[in-house]
Amino acid sequence: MSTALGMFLAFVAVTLAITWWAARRSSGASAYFAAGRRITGWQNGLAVAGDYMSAASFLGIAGMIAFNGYDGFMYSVGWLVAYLTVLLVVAEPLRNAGKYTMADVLAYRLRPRPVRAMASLSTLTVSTFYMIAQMVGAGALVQLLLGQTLDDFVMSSKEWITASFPIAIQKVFLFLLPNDGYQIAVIGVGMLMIIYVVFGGMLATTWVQIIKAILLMSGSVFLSVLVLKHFGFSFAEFFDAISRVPVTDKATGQVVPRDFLTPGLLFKPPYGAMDLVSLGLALVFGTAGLPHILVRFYTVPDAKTARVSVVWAMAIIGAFYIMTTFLGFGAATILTPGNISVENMSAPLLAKELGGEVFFAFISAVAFATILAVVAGLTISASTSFAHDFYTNVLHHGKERSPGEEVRVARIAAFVVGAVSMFLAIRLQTINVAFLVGLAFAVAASANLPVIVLSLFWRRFTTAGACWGLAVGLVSSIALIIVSPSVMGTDAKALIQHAPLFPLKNPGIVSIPLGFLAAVLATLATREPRAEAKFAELTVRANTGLGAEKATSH
Amino acid sequence: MNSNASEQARFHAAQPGAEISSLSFLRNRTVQRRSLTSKERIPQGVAAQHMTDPQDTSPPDRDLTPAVGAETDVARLGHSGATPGHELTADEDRDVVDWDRVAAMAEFRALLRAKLRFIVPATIFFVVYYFVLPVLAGAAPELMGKKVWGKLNVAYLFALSQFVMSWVVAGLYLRAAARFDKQAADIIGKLGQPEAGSQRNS
Repeated sequence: MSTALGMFLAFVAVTLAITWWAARRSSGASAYFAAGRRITGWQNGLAVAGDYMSAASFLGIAGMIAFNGYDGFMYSVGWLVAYLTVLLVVAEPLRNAGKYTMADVLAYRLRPRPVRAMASLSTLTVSTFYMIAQMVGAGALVQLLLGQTLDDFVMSSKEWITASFPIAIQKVFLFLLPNDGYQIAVIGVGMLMIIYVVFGGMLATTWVQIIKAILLMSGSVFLSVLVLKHFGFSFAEFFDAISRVPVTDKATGQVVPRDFLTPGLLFKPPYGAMDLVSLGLALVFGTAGLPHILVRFYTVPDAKTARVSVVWAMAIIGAFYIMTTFLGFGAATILTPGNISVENMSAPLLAKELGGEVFFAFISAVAFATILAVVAGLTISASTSFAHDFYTNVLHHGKERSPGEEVRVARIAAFVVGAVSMFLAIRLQTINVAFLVGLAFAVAASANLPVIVLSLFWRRFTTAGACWGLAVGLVSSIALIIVSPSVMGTDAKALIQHAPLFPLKNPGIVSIPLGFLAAVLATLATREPRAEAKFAELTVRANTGLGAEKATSH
Repeated sequence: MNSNASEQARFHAAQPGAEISSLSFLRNRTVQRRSLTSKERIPQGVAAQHMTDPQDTSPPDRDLTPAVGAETDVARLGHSGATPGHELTADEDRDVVDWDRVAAMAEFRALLRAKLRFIVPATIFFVVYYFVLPVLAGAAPELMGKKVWGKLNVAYLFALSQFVMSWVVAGLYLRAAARFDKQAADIIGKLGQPEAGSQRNS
C-alpha cells in the first residue's frame, strides 16, 4: 500500500514543481485566468480530456459495466457524442467573442450586470455540485485504499500529541487533527487544489490536467492490453466470456450465466429507457455548458486552435471510453461481479489481479491524481467566474479599483471555494452524492446552454430572456432532482423518506425544455433594441475572429 | 451602404498618410491607443519610454482612455510596459472594425450560410443518431439482442458505431472548417480595401 502512496506523492511533487514554475513565469490577468492564451491544440485537447475524465468515468463506468454489462457501456457513449455539440456550436464562437468566462459571450450584447450575476450563480452552483461529488469520492477512494494505514497514523499521532504536550495545546492539536483517512484525503486534496490554483493559476492547472490525462490513458491502455492478453488476444474468446458472465440470481441464490452484451440489466422498464434518454440529453447539451470545460477554450491562441483541441479531446476521450469497456467487461469476466466487494473498485481490483501489487498501486494513484486534477479545474473556473463576472463586472461595473485586483479577488475566491468544499465534503461523508454529478450536467444543460445558443444565434434575444432562462433552468433542475428517486425514497439510504414524486433520476428531459421555453417566452415579452443592434457585431466577431483576444507575446 | 463615406473618412483619420493594406489599419490603431493609454498610466520610468512609439506623432483627436479599464497588466513583473492587445476589454476594442459594414458584406453572409448549411444538418444528424440508441434499447430489446457476428449483437455494434460516427462528423467538420477559415481570411483581407468593399455593397 505504501507503493501507491509513494507513486501519488511523486505525482504531487511533480505537480507542485509545475506550480512553482507557473507562478514564477505568469503575471497579469490573462496569464492567471487563461494561461496567457498560449496552450497549443494537442495540449489543450489533453487538458479538456483530463478535465472531463473524472473519477466518476474511470472508476464509476468501469464498475457499472462490470456489474451491469451493456447498459454501462451505453451510459458511456453519451460522454463522447456530447463533444460534437462543443465542437459544432460552442467552442469557436466562445473563443472569438469572450475573454475569461462563459458570461462574457452573454454580456456582449445584453445588459451585463443582471446577466453576469445569473451566469455566475449558475457557474458556481455547477462547480460546487461537481466538486462535492469529486471530493467525497476522493475520500471514499482513499478510505478504501489506505484506510487502515491512515487510521493507524491518526491513532499514533493522537498518542504522540497526548504524550508530549500540555493539555491546552493538546486540545488545539486534537481539534485540528483529521479524524480518519477520509478526512485526511479530503483535506489533502483541498489543500493541494488550493495551492495549484492560488499560486499557479490556469497555467499550472492546465499542466496538472495534461499530466493526469497522460497517466490515466497509459494506465488504461496497459490494463486493457493485460485484459486482452488474458484471453490470448482473441476477441472471439473475450466476447464469448462476456456472453456468459456468472451472476448470482437474487431470487434463487444460484450462480447462473448471463449475457452481459444484452441491454436492460440496469435500465429496466417502465422508466429505464426514458431515464437514459433524459441522461443523454443532459450529457449532450450539458457538456457544452460546463464552465470548467468552457474556460479551457480561452487558454488557446485562437478559434482554430480551439477547434483542433476539441478534436484532440474527442480522440482521447473516445479511446478512453472504448477502453473502459475492456476494463469493465474484463472485471466482469475475469473477477466476476460476485468477487468484487465495491462496484467502484472494479478497475483497481482488476489491475491487482492481472498486474500485481505494483500495478494496483499505480492505478490507485492515477485514480487519486484524476480527482485532484478535476477539482483543481473546477476551482479555477469557479473563482474566475466569481472574480471576473461577479466581483469586477457586477459589483464594480467592470472597473478595477487597483491594478491586479481581479486576480487578487480570484485567488481569495479560490481559497474560499476550496475551504467551503472541504467542509461540505466532510459533512456529507456518509451520504451518497454520486447524483450531484448528474445534477451538475442537468443544470449546465438546462440553464447555461440554452442562453449561450440563443445569445449567439437569435438576434431578438433579450436580457430578460437570458435571466429567466438561467433561473428557470437552474431552479427546475434542482427541484426535480430533490423530488427524484436520487434523493427521495422509502429505503434507508434515501435522503428524504418519501416516495419519489418524479419517476426519473435525471431531470434533463423536463428541465432542458423548461430552460429553453423560459428564455424564449421572456424574450418575446420584452424588447431590447440595443441588444439587437449589437447582434451584427457579435456575429462578425464570433465567425471571423476579428478583435478576438490574442495570445501574449512575451 | 449609406454609412460608407463616413467609414472611409474614419479609416483615413485613423492613420493619416499611411498606406492602407490588409490588416494594417487594425494594428496601427491598436498600437496608437495602447501607447497613449500606457503613457497616462505609467508616467515615469523606463517602461514608458520603451513603449512610446517615436513614429507616432499624430495628436490624440479624442480621449482614447478606455471607459472600462483593465489595468490588470500595468503592474506586470518587468516583462514589458504596454497593455498588450489581448488585454483590451471589449469596450476598448469596440470600434476597431465597423461591424455593421462587415455583417452586410456579401462574403460574410455567404460564410454564415455555408456554416449553417453544415452545422444544422450535422447537429440534427448526430442528435437523432445518438438518441436512437437508448430508444431502441428500451423499445425493441429483441432487435438489439440479435446476434450479428459471433457473440456480437446489434446493441453492442450500434453503441460502438456511435464512437465512429462522432469521429467521422468531427473529421468532416474539420475539413469544412478549413474552408470557413479561408472565407473568413478573405473577408478580413477585403477590410483593408474599403473602396472595393463599398463597390460591392452599393
